[in-house]
This record gives sequence, C-alpha cells and structure tokens, in this order.
Amino acid sequence: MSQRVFEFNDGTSHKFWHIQLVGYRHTRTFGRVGSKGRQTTKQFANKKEAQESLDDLVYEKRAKGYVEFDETGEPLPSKPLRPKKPKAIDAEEARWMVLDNKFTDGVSYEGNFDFRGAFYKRRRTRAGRTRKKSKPVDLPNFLTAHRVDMSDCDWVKEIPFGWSVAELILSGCKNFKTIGEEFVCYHLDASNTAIVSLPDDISVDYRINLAGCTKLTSLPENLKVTSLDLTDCTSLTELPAGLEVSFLNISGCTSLETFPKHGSIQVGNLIATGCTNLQKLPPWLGALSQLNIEDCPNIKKLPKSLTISSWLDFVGSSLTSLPRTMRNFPLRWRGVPIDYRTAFQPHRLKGRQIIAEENVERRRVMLAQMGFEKFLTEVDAEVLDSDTDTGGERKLVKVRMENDEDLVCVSVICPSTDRQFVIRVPPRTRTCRQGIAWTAGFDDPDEYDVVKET
Amino acid sequence: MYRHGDVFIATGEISKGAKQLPHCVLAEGEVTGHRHEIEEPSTADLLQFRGKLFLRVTAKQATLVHQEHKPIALPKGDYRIWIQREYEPKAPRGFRNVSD
Repeated sequence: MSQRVFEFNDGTSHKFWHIQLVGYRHTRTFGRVGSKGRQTTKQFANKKEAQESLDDLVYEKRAKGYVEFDETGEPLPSKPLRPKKPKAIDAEEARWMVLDNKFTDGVSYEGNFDFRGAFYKRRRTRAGRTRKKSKPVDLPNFLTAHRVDMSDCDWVKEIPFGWSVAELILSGCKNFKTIGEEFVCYHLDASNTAIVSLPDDISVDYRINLAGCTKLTSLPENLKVTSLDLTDCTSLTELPAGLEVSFLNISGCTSLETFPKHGSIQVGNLIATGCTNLQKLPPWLGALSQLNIEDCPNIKKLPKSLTISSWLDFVGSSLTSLPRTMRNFPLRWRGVPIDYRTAFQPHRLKGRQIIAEENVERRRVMLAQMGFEKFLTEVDAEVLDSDTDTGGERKLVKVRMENDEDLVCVSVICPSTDRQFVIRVPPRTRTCRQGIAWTAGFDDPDEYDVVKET
Repeated sequence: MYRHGDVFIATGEISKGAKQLPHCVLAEGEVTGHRHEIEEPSTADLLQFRGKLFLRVTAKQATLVHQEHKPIALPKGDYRIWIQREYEPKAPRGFRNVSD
C-alpha cells in the first residue's frame, strides 16, 4: 500500500506525519518539515489489526488538525471527521437543540426530529422571549435519528455529511439541492425539490422518492434500492448503468430515451406512462408483476425475456400484437381489465358480444375499440333520437333482437373523461332525455334536474 | 341534484335508524378500483339504512373526489345517494345498478 502523507501547520509549528502499511506492520515517519524525522514500526498479529491501528492513528491526526496530501502534493479535500462515538441524546435535549438551533456533530437520537413546526412556529426561546422569525437551522454533520421531517422547509438547501436516518422527508423543500456523502437511509423522500443529483456513495435500502424533481439530471452508477420513484423528472436524460431496483416509476420522464446497457428491474413493476421519447424497453427486463407503458408512442415491442404476472397496460404505445409466448399476459386498458381480442384484434369483436358484456367499463372499451358507428351498423341499429348535453352528443338507439324484446340503449359522453358509454334503458323509451332520467331513477324526465355534473 | 359519474347526490332527509359507516367511500369501481369518496373523511359522515346510502356533510363543505371525474363541493347538509341504473329484463325489478 502506498504511503499516506499528512501535514500540520498552525503558524508556529510545521510538522509532517507519514504512515505506510506493509504486510502485518505499519511504519510511521514524523518530525518537523525540513528535517529527516524519526521512524517507528509496529508489528501486528494480522493484517486486519494493522489496518485498524492505522485507521485509529489517522483519525487522531485528523482530529488534531493534520491535513492529508495526495501523491502530487495537493491537499485532499477535508471531509468532516465522524465522531468516534455518537452522542446519544433524549427527547428533551433534542427539542432544545431544535429550538435553540444548537446542534453538535455526531448527535444520535432514537426519536423523530420534526423541523416543520419547530422552525416556523417557534414562539418561545429558552429565556422566554418570543420571536416571530428565526434563522434557518444549522444542520449538523453525522446526525443519527429515526425520522427527520423537513417537508416544505424552504430554508433547507443541503443535508450535511454522514447522516444516518431511517426516514428522511424533504418533500416540497424547493431550495433543496444536495445530500452530503456517507448518507445512509431506509426511506428518502425528496419529491418536488430542486435536487440535481445524489451522492455516489448513497445507501438507501427501501425507497427513494424523487417525483417531481424537474432539475434532476443524473443518478449514481450501480444505484441499488427496492423502490425508485422518478415521476416527472423531466430533465433526466438517462438512467444510471447497473441500476438495481424492484419497483421503478419513470412516468412523465419525457427526456428519457434509452435504458442503460445493464441493470435489473425484478419482481415488482415498471411504470413508464407518458415517456414520449423512450425508444424501447431494455433486453435485460425479466419477471415483472406489472408493466405500464401507456402513452409511450415509440415502444413497438416487448423484450423477449419479459414475463408479466399481474398486468400490462399499453394504451397509447405502438404495440400492435404480442408474440404467442406473451399472449397469456393479463391486459389492461387504462386500468380496465380486457382480453386479447379487445386489445389487439378489435376487428374480430362482434356487436352482440359488446351488448352481452355486463360491465359498463369493459363494454365502453370494447365499443371504443370497435367504433360506435361500426357497432351501430353491425347490430343494424335504428337511431330513435339524438340531442346534446354537457358531455356532447347523445343518441338513443334501438336494436331488434330475435325472439326477444328490443334492445334500446342511450349513448352518452362523460363530461370529465370524454369517453362514450352505452347504457341500456327500457324498450318503451322514446327520447335521450327520457332515457337518462330513467337511469337516474326518474320516470318523469322533468324531475331530472342536475345542477352540477362531472 | 348532483351527478358524479354514475353516482347521484341530492339533498334529502336521512332515514331514522340509519347507521354510520366506518368509511367515506360512496361507490367503488368493480374492475378499475376507482372510488367516489369524500376527500377529507372528517368533513362528512356516510350512513346506511336498508341498503340506501346517505351523507351528512358536517363541515362547511365536503369535496367528493374520484380518480377520473372532477371534484364536486357539497355544502353542509343532508343528502341521499344512489347509483345510476341500467335496464336488465332478467333482474328482479327490471333493472340493476350500473357496474363499472
């Protein structure tokens, strides 16, 4: 191992201190700068013990103010020094730390820090004075806590060095940009913040939520986390190589064009709605529970290795069929479960089949797929009446059924969703108005008096 | 009378003996799982009597929301709630509730 070089200079004394690990022993050289210095060597029982001793000595020197230099003689950026032992505090101390804004590095608290109210609604200081406004909290390095909630705190700009927090909530901190190194967390929620990237050595076990971070441009390579939410990260142009997740949401990431060459999304889901520039799905995509590629117009096919157990939603993509091996995938049409024929072979749908479908949502999708006009022609429908309401044109149609009473349906357009629905009404119905009033439970259409409809 | 997709809401008396339900979901989509519900459950009570639903808005107003339909603000008061029906000759009373 190469030698590590440290120097100390406080104006009155200028000293050097070098240390080198060789095998089971380390050698220290130290003295005044300009002198040859003295040398001591210490032997250990094994390499691990030698390394531990070296780390301890380096720590001591750094604590004393020694600065490390690299091989070229440039000083290394000085990282804050992690305290040897975190200082455990109780709830009372934690409360005063927030109120007084006096944090020390390396504090460990088993409970929750809530900076939202503590900062803005702070009314009384310890001396009993009232203050309306206070300065932003000076956050400490190496904070250990169970949960830290800073949602919507505009004064938070960065998370300092070495935090270890089970849950860190930063959602809505619109000036928040960076997280310090050596960050360890279970659940990080930094949604709707101005974050640009994550530190390379970030360690989050369960979930990272970066939804709505429109300034996010990069993520660290080999990022590994169970669930990653990148909804509407519109500046993100690529995902990191070696990404390893179970649940990934990239909906609305409109600048994203490709997936990295290698990575893994296993077991959970990939939600990619509205990724308008995404060209294709990665070949390494394996077993998923759910896949949503709604409104990804450039996706024309699915990777060969893909299997889906729960559902595939594909409306608005360019998928026109599925290979035989994938025909067992359960399909959804914007959330409505449908069969393969309705999805990919609407020309094989029969008008009678649509009439026979009991579920009105499924019937609506079948109708949309077949086309209302084609449906009317195919079932030889007679239009009895038509008018308009808030949603658009309404039609009352009659279909003659052999050996059965006539089928009379009213077709309406939903004002919220613009979707066309067909609802069966009694055969004696003569007008759209009468039909719709009947569906609301009124035999007299004049009683149907809707003031607001959505 | 208000219409929220296939759910109708009109001012009306709440039947005596109606029992409060532990939730504020007026209706739930059978295949989509989408719900017509009161956004903030503390603003209203949902009650039921012999299969009929009633809503008592206790706050100044309560907002009825759904994943696809626009919200409707209901002012304080008592309401009846029912679901749109569809003709079905084979059903006992000649109709059934629209299932979505």
